[in-house]
Amino acid sequence: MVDTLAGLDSIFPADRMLCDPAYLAAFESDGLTAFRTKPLGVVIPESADEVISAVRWCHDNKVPFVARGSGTSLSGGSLPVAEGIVIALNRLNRILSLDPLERLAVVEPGVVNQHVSNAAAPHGLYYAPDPSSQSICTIGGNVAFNSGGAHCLKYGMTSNHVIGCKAVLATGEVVEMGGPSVEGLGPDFTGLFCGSEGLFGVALEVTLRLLPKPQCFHTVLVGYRSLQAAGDAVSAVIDSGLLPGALEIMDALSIEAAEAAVACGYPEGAAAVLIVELEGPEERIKYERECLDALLAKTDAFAYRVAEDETDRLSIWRGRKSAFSAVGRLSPDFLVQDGVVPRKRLGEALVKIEELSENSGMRIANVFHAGDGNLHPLIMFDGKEEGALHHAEQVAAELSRICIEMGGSITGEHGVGMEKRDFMPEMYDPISMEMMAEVRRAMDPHWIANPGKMFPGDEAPALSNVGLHPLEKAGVISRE
Amino acid sequence: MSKDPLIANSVDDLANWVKSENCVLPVGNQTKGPLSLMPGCRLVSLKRLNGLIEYEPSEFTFTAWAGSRVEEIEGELSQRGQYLPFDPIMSKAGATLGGTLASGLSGPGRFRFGGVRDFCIGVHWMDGQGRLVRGGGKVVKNAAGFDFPKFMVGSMGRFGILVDMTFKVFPKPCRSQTWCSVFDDHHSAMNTLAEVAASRLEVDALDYRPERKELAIRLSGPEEVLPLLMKEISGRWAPGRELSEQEALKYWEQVKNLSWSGFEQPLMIKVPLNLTKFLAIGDNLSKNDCCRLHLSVGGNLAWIALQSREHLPWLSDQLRSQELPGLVVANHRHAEQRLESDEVVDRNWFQIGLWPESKMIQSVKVAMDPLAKFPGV
Repeated sequence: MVDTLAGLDSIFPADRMLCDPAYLAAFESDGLTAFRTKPLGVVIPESADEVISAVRWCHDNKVPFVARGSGTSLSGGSLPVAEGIVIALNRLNRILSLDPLERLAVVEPGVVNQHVSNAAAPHGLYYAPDPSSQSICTIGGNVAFNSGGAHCLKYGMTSNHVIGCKAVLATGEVVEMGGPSVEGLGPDFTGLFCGSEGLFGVALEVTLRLLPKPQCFHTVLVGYRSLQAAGDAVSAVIDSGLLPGALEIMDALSIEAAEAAVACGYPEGAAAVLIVELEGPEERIKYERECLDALLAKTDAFAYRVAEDETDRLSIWRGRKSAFSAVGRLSPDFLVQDGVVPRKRLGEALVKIEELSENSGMRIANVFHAGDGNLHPLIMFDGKEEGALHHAEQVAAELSRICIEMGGSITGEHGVGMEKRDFMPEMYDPISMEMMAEVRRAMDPHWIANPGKMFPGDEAPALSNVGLHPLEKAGVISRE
Repeated sequence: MSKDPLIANSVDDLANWVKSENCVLPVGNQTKGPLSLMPGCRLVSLKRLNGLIEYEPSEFTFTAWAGSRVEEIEGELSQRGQYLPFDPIMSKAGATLGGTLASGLSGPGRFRFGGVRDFCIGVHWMDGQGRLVRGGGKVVKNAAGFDFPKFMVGSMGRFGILVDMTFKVFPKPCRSQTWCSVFDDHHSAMNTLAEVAASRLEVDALDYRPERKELAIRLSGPEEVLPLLMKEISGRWAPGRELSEQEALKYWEQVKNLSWSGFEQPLMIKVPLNLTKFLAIGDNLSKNDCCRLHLSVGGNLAWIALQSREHLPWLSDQLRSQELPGLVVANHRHAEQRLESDEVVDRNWFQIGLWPESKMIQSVKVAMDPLAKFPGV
């Protein structure tokens, strides 16, 4: 153990305080595998009190810390800091209460997203936010990065479903925000805490709103000969007044990858596929599907598949959900962006991406949440080629700038993290950046909570060129 | 200090007054009297900074000046078949977008899709140095930077002056229908409320009037579908009756405009709570003839009407006993009397019951308003 960590061992027994480089290797990266840094140590608390003690120790000793769940962040949000520790929250994985009458669950930060819905299912309830990594990502990470998913258009993001939070700030102060009511008084600290990327402190307990499970779904997969035609179909759906749970588009390259990976049976020769999902009471869906069928019939679709049952529905989604990791079959490495553009400018953005691909010589596959303009260009490269990662990063930078220029955002759901921090000053003016810094300083005067994220100029981790996340390779997780 | 607000005609006016005055409280049309008056603070009205700045129906978003009347914005949205699903409060009285956000008030429609916090996606505000600061953006999905738009919900002008804001909107349902069931006691009513809330029906408002033990269930959607869903409601939660279109309109308008109590110019208090807390406190409150209740947002919000301010200490004690906070949002006359009689004491008299204490809010206040140009928290 390095001297810097002296005293921390009085809080954690040896088997829950890891300093051996072999153990630390498992924590040196997250879902953004292009970057890695080895921390000084990793502590594994088993209770909220131990988390509080660890944070207070960090505060007293001015040692940086990074709280981490399953490490699935795609923006490098849980990358460790070389001079700091990782607080691994996976053992705080208890659902503390689930109240079907109030439709609430109180959970610890290490609870896996999907486990909340599993626990709520016997009561006919579920937790709506569904990032693609939901089978492994944790609620603490979802809160920190305000995770999204395929159903944000109708249901919003994580922050729309978190109504309360108990946290330890970087000062060591334990605070309670929000509570058991969806309504609140005073400034909405819960809303501020969500998406703060771990820069304020560590969530200890999170109160989640649960929704009734939709009674039925109507999921269609539509094939188009051009991306433009698929985009036009999205506009037609939006203009119709329907509010689908999901509206997703995949381009030819991503279809090819998904087909190779999971044989999802998407229409052959499609330049783009559109997935539309309606959900709700049977009577409403019966009516809305007629409206949807009628309006999609007027688009330039050449293939139309309706999910016949739940198995069929899941098979349609399997292609979409696997798309990103499937791209790993086409390329040893890739970077994924998640910028947002105004929906009406999606077509324009795709043309620019195509131009960028041609000019840079890098292949870019596209999968996107078309309903809310959330792009997911996948920039493919081979990290073994000298300079390829740097080149891919330059392309990614251009994509971020395109989103900013179009009046959108550099991130729709992955967060800024380490990856996009340099673009924050391009998206926000200096005064707004300064205001964010002041608020951060109020919560964390020593700047020790997850440093290097969101704000440019903090310490830079080492670049590496290893490919997909091991869990991605194993097909356990996928990127949104 | 004058009770008449300075009325800004431009953002520059706001900047000048923020710089020249010692303490500034932003107001709109002052529909929420207790929140629109503050001893020792210069009132600055944004009511002339109004109107849409951008409206893109295909984006499901609009941007408008903070002083825009909600009713006018709702009218513009309605023409394009869209709406703010959270039923903004007091729109008829002239509530502004800025005031709605700053007071953090949502109506019965908050039940299904969320409240003002869930629909505001971007803000510009003026800080104590007269600088415009941006939070959030103009696209419906954005995870970049701190979520200041949410933080401003319920901030009551303590951190800056909201200047403009961007909201997400949804397609407006073609039609609504309302079913009312009457119960013997609050417990059975709350059990049914929970059952309806968790049902497959996706009701969009679910309110309860304790005085009449009457549960109101509102469904919205296509004309072709509602009768089918109403059939299930009438079968499962009988006895009861469907309100006529006029009755339903009146019922929900009264809730939205806080005019349901029957009292003349009552004090209206917002109390966030849940079913358990309501059952613990509802009977006690109902026993006082000067106090009336309306439970909204599926049991997550109680509106309490008090006939006169003499009963505020009593109500505050009741709320304290259940560790509940309350916010007095109306009415103006009482607020002015209070201002005249208690000029320098108890500036935040409209915060009753038990409000949580935290150093965090003080730290953030100092960070965002280091010159203390806005009232304290």
